[in-house]
Amino acid sequence: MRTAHPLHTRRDILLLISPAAAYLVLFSVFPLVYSLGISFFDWSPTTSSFTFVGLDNYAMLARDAVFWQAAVNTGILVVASIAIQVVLGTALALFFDLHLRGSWFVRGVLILPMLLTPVVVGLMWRALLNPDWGMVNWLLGELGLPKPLWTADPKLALVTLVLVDSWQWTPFIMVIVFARLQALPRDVFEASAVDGAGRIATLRQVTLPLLAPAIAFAAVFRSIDAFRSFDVVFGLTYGGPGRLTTTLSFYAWETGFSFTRYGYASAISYVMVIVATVAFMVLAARLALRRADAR
Amino acid sequence: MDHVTPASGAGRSPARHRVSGGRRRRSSVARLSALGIGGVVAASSLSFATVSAQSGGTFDPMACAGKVVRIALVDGERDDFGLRDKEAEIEAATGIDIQLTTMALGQLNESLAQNLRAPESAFDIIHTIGFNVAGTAGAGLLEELTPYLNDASKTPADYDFADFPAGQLEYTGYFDVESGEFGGDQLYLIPGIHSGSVLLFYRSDLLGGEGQPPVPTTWAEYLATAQQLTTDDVAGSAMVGANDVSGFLVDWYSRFITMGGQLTTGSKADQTLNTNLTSPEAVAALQNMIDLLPSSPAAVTSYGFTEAMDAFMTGRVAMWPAWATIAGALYGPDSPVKDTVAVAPMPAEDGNPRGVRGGWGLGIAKNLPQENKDCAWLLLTQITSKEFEKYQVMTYQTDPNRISTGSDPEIVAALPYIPAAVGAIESAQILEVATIPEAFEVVGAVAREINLALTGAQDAETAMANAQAAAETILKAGGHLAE
Amino acid sequence: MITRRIERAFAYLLLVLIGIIGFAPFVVILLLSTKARIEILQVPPTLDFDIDQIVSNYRNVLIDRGFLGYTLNSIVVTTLTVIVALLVATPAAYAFSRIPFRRRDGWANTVLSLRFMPAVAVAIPILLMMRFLDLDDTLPGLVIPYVAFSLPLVIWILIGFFDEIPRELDDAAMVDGCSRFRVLTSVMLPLVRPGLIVSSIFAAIFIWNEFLVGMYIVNSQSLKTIPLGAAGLISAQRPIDWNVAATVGVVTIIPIFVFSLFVQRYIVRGITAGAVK
Repeated sequence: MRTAHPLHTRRDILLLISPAAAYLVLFSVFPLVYSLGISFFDWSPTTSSFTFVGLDNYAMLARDAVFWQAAVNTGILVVASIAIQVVLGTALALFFDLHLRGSWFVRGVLILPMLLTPVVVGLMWRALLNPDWGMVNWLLGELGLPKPLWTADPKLALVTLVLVDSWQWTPFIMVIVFARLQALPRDVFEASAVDGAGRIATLRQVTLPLLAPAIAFAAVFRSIDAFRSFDVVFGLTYGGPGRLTTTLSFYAWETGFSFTRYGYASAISYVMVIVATVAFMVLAARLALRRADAR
Repeated sequence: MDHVTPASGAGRSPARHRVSGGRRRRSSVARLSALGIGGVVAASSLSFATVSAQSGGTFDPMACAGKVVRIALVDGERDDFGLRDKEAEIEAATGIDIQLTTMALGQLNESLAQNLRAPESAFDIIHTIGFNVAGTAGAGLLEELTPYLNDASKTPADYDFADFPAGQLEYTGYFDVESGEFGGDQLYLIPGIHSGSVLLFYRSDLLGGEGQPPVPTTWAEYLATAQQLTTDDVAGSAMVGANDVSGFLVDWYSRFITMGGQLTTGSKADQTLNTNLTSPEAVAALQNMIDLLPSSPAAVTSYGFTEAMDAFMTGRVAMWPAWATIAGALYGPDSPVKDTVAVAPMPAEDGNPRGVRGGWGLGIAKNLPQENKDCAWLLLTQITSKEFEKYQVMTYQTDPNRISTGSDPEIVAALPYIPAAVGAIESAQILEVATIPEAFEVVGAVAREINLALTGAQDAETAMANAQAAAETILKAGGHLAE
Repeated sequence: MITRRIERAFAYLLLVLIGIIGFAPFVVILLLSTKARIEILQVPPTLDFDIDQIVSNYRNVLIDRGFLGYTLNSIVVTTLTVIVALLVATPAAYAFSRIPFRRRDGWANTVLSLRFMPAVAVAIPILLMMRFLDLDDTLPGLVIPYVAFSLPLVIWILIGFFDEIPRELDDAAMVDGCSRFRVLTSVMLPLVRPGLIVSSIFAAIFIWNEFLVGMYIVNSQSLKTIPLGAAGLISAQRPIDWNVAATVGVVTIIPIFVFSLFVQRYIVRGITAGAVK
């Protein structure tokens, strides 16, 4: 058989994979390496400075209070968002598993936020949360509740960001968990129902453990994305008040784009690359398991 | 009813800018004379695009017929709107094919930094904000304009350069490349398309009249008046309380300099440039803003221009210090307060009302063939002319650049604040750190601390100490202050 | 049983409630898009509609502000990117699925890991590369990096779909003397079509919304995509025109809403392609 011939196999692989490999090396890997290189330079086109500074940018990062604040903000954003989204997303998936009539439409509406242009999401919520004429505060006022300054109150701004991120991305978790639910063998449930286990007990002892891998996958996937959060910050808070909602991505963007300090911006983003890579290794371990299962 | 209002900024076509006969208006010939372009113009005949030889001595508007002039303007400040309206008209009058690109501020600065250093710039006319003049003109990247200005064959006889306010020319006009300071006698920019003046906008039905508190002339009075005017429905004062550079530029800096503050000491040349943000005046300026919080709208710490202007427009604010180029829209036809809004010079503790100098300049890239530069200059004279400014100011309420704009009866009748705006321009003060390329970073960093102080997260002294630390870090990183 | 019925009724109530909460923000934006600038400031908004105002808002956004043009650019960029990405990714995914080679899963994971790189880390190098190729401020200058951004997920999703096709089909075709390439083009492609659809949708969603790298590359008004145009609404020195911003919101949301209702099941399939088996 021709397939068995190692030479053919090798040629096949080259033929099939090399376009993609070349493309990725040229336009994904090379920019990443380039960026690492830039991070060793003090480079700003505005001041036309271009000098090799070794690890100076990284040393400066370590002393940069804004960087650390951005790191903490990003951490809080990731943890809080994922916690909310996992709980809410799973609950919604279980709810939709009831297969009520018309739920496809509601699901379609709920999926919408994650398909939207993120700047528009930010602008939309800026309008809805406007302290003077936003509908959210108007509604709270009608209900006799206090009207918070969502994006201006230092204690609240990051919470607002978490809430908007959750509005946008809870459906992502919901979709994954819902799909997993559909794939579960129904007889397991029926068996436990016959056993007379209560619904809560079934949920805790049978359903949730079966869903756990899907939830974990969704959570890791979302975490890495939340770690890169930029768009909604740009549209909603622009990093303020003070620096209280500045994420690492936003800080890197601002440094690179607004202040054109390319070297420093690259150093910030390279720290992110390293963190994302480590985080991905956790994910990859799970994915490898999944592929092994599939075979 | 077509509600294309100035405030909604409607009606500008951002589409590709190509000359097309269909877009030219029938009245264009009539308006050409208004544009100050004498002589007969073969209206609508671009096919007639022969480059006429420089007839020594007299200005020929068609000298660049058939040529393309590429111009980069800032986006989002309505500076491009007038040109979009007038594009076909100017093209007909000059035969020049105008290609307009607009970019957001950060993008524009970055693009200019690249283009002006490239072998040949992709833009002929460039637009630079005052804070970036050091980075463009100061870096020797712009064409010196004096030879063009003084050449009668290149500049229209009625251009009237003397009409530009001296103070604005010191900022977005002359620059001394050698010392890296504003002023000097080398002209690199023509002020435009809008300048930036700060004025006190107030409600004439609430103050200044009989039995009402007088319009405040010091910041202490301003605070007292604001407290006095505050009721359940109306806040005495508004400001940019959000995380926004104008919280620094308009609100804090105006207080600071007129309380006797001086933003910087030392010089970048010997690496001793430092800010005085912990000075008593710096803290007092911020304290004045903090003291105003109870007399401000409840949500003032989330107020940028948009929100402050909305609050004023809906009658919920009595006094608001603001860039005239923004707040001019309060006089717009759709403004509910258009009949009750009035302006005064900014309050000043030292009796000399003044605010930060803002505004933009238009220059010509140095790295271009001579022909491009000549044509760029020709177009530049058209878009900085008296007539063009009149149209731009009248239609979009952007800040004027010419002294004569403040005395044009038609403009003053429609926009009564304009004379005050011209006055404010003549007395405005250049931000001391504007000569360093990191000016925006410094301003941004201080603005953030001011914003945090207003939200109650820190007191005035802590805020200014943090601001000083942030500014020092930036100055050191830029090599303007020794470690 | 009565409790069953009550439960059922309660569930439907909840469904309606979730639907309302999910839908309400969009309705508010829709409402704001019908108002004049000054009417936005009135809470609650009135339900009086002025057709001239509505026409004026939408004409302003679509024509004057060029969103019709931005939409066209978005369509061109998205379509080109998806086509190129599929052309490059499909053979690779096929190889990953079918031909065993050393550390295959490791390489597959490495490819996917590129999907998680922060865009901000590559924005500056990509700008410089496009400038070097003289492609900055052009649509190809957007398509080239966007293909690179799309490839990892497209390859990953397609591997999953190839895995589902029985290997016996390849073997049979190859016994008949077909080369790998022929097997891919004439046997596999028709079978993997759902995978092509799903991965196209995912690439399209991403590209449709990308703007961080786009902001670096595109300057010209005439080349902006929808997100770049929308980002232009947030300017430092100008009041935001909320009626215009809301209209922009509606104009961008409606096509996506229609799209999501129709392709919902593919989206679900795509998201779960990696996670659930």
